[in-house]
Amino acid sequence: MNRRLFYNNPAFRLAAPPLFGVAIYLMILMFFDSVGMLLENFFSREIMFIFGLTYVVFEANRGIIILLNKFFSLDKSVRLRILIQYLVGISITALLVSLILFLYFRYIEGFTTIQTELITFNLIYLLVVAFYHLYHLSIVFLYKRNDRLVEQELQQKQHLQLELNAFKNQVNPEFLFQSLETVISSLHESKKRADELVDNLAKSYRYTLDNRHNDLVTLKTEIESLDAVRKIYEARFPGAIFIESDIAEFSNEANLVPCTLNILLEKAVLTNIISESLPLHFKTQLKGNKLIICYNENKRLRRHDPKNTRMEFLEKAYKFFSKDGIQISQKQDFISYQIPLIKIEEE
Amino acid sequence: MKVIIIEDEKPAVEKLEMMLKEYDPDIEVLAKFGSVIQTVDWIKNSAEDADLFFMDILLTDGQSFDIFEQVEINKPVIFITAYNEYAIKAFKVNSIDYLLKPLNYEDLYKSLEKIKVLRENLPANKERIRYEELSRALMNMNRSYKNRFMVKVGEHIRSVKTENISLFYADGRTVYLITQKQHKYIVDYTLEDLVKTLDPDMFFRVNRTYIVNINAIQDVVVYSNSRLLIELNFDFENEIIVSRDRVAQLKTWFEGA
Repeated sequence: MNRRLFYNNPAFRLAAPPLFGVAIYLMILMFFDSVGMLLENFFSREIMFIFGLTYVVFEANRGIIILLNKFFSLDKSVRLRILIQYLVGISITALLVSLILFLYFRYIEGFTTIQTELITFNLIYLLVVAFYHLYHLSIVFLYKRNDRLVEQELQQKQHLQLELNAFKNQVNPEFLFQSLETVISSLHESKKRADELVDNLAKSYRYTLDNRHNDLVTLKTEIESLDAVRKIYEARFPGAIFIESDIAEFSNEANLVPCTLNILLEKAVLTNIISESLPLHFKTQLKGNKLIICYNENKRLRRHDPKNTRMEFLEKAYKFFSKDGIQISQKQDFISYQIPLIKIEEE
Repeated sequence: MKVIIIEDEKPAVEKLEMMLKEYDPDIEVLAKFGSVIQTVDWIKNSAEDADLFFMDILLTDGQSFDIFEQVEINKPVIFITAYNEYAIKAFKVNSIDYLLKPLNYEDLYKSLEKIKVLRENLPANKERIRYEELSRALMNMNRSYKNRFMVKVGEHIRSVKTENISLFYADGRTVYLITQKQHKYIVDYTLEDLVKTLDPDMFFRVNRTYIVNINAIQDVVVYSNSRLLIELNFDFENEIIVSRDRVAQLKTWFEGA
């Protein structure tokens, strides 16, 4: 990925040499034990020279990085690249510092023996350059790590995408037809009841449709949405289905994938025998940061849903949004689903 | 109370009449219309006779907001809609209410009570309906957009408001979003899907790779080959160039917003 790293940033290129130059100048003065002269010397030729030298050294090392990126990219071999970057960086820096220092003292200051200066300047600049490259490499690796994390996320997401879109377009036809059947038979008994049922049917579909663009909804709206569906099922299985919720308090931090309760209830209805002698008890309750949904099983002899795509979608969605996903446990004739409640941070 | 029912489906009219009778046997249905033309004609002559209008959104020859463009109605209106309620909810005026289809008695009752209170308190109700806002609300009614994106950051789920997103872009098969705060996240939609779920007044697909938020555009510059270059209000690594076939569209989008 092509990011604008610090060494290509014009502000850094312009501002860094003077700033580092001042620090380097201080170090050199300390080395020669003449910090006291700082104020009188501050805007002297010496400091201008150091600014210039720092600028040249930084630009040279920037050039090295750019060239290495082109001819010896990090992807080839990390160790070799680090070694080469340091070796080239340090030798070029030493060469440049020595050369410029020599010229400066020879032609401007008029000195001839400059051994101490040479060693001091080289030591300081090599140290600075070592840090320059260390900083560069750390940032590059930090970005690389982030990219890898993003990449991993990506794999998972792409898998989900297809499922998610397929699900969102789906308006469960089975539930519609069964419910229409219920409406029609209730019409013979009472018009008013049929009217109510149609209203609840509309509410439950409106809920699904209204949330087709939402990835998550609050627990409260989920539980409330169950009300309309419950009335339809109660009309379809009079005295044979009991849908209860023990949840008194709703935290806004608890979120679910839309239609979670609906899908699980549908699964319970599809896979079980429901009759007055074998009623279905469907319960929801809170336990820590999980929503527990449990019901008693009286399995139909023949499975009614060879492939429950809505259920598969739900499992995938929770696996994506939480660490554990949906966990299922079975105790005798009771099956219970532990649904993680998802906390959303605001951006 | 005298009401007018503007609705083109007969069973719906009958059901409403039945429920009105149940609410108050003295309610008189003055007239029933199924089209914009009929309604406008009637209002021109005898609007003062009615106390309340029921209006379906979709009529045989148009939509009910066309009525407001042609004549002035300063009586309470109850809209009847099969669409979701959010658009109308946003448009809150005393003299306007809405009911969802299929109609149920409970909601109708609440609505009528509200209007009754209003009539008693403001005998000469002169509150003007703001037509433009109303028609905009109605026009947006059947369109709903995605207003939040859930993104994953490690183990955390973060919610990003759509209006805070500056840019969507595709890099290979991956689609990223960049927020105003310049955070970058992966989204699990393709650009094609995004175009369908985003508000077209706010977002525009400038080429195969980018969808930009109008609020993130700093400048649009003429680029070579009669194309345009979009400059964003933050530092972005790549150039965003409007493909030639979209230049005209972009201009109308930009002017319309």
